[in-house]
Amino acid sequence: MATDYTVLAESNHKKKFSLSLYASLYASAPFSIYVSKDRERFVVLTDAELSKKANKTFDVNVFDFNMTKKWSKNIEIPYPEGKFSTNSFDVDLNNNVYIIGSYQETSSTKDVDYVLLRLSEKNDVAEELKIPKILEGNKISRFNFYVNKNSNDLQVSGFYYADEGKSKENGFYYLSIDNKTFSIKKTKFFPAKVILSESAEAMEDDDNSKRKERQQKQEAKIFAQNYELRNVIYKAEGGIMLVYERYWYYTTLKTTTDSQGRTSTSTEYHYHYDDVITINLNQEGEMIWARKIPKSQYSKNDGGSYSSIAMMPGKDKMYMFFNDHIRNVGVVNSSSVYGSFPQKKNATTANVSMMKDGTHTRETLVSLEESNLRALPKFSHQIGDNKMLLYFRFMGKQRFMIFEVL
Amino acid sequence: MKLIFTTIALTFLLVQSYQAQSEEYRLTQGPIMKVSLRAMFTGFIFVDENMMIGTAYEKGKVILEKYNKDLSLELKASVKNNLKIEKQNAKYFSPLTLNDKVYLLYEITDKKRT
Repeated sequence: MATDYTVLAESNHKKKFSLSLYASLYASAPFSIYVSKDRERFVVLTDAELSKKANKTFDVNVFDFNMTKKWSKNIEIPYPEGKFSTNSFDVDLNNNVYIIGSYQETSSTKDVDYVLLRLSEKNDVAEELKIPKILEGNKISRFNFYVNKNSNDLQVSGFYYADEGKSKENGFYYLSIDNKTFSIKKTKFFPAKVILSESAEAMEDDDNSKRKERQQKQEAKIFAQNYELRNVIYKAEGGIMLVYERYWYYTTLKTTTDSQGRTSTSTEYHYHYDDVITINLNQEGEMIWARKIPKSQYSKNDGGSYSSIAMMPGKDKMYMFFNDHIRNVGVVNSSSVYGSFPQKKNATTANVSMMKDGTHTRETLVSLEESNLRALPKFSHQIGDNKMLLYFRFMGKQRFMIFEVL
Repeated sequence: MKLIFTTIALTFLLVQSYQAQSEEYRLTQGPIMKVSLRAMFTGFIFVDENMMIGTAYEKGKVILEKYNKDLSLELKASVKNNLKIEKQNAKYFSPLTLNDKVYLLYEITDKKRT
């Protein structure tokens, strides 16, 4: 397959970006660009498939954003071509590149091993750390990782499911990997029932009935299936905040009959974006608090465009924006809320401000009557330390807004 | 391979921007505009607080947009289709930003030569 590499819009900055060189060297090899999570460096990774080595190799090029090349080298991955796929990346303070990926020996999904690779200038072959499939009796899945800027250690989080004998327990895990020894230093498991009960206690809900307890148990059983990680916030003092959102969708078949008696069947897609749970961990991986922000967003056949949240970690607070019912404004202590997509007069874009101790407020940012448009939280972006650009769209019209903390 | 940028005149409905302010924050609302990325919506990238660019594959073109500080559209440019940039044969990579410039990088596969 022939491939061309083209820079469509190029800066006139004096330091030229030399990617075209690599493209011409490996004209048929695909490449990828990965920006480090602190956005201070980026990696250009060329899949050097023309290499004669038995194992897969990458041409690794690490740059900072002054376009200064930190290092560049052809590095062998300890797996044959086609057996390894990359999952996520980060770069540490010493410009070493980390890749979490999966290695599959056969076509059977049971044969998948997850590995963390370290690609450094001093080694010709990537260092490998196999991540056990089962840790302390728990099967782990999903791998979100980042380099802790204080310790330079790596921190990995995701979901776990208890292996047999633990009655469907699940939740999220946290691993700390020592940068010097390149080995697992600490493992923590947070069962869903603990997270949910911690966040429910904070709500001080009046409704403490057995029904609520049953609901919580039911929710705990499906935590790992229903909750998606939306954001990881790296705290300046170390530690992280994980923001999960309850999300699921399903399809139904709809059969209609027209005036001629002809029937037709179509598929309908139903999207649910519900409660948000924020979990605050300290640098040692201990849970400081967990808080739930109740919401109920249901839509169909729209891809869930107007659902979910946009968020901005500010200096002292964390801000979340989402479409909401005006009657939910002010709600912080109740687990039951109105649906988020009511008629125009009751629709609003809510702003939840969360303090460092987990206390939060929920207020109207702008009502639908005022803005005429609905927010598309998924297409909103943080554009500065204390600035968020929000995108609104409805019925063929669009509008941008900037939310700026003073 | 040559690329040609065509700048299209701004023809959108402009409504006065305004600001709402509380003690804690300021909300600047831009004008209401017609949705400009009609076909496949692929999202936005933002260079800094003064500039933003949207990209989309619209009738086989890549559309770039630049906005003013008041959030109104300053210009819209499209890349001509001599590269046959389409959803099917162009893979979009993360943009690279440097000061107030942006690098947009695409991998374009010529399917005819497969």
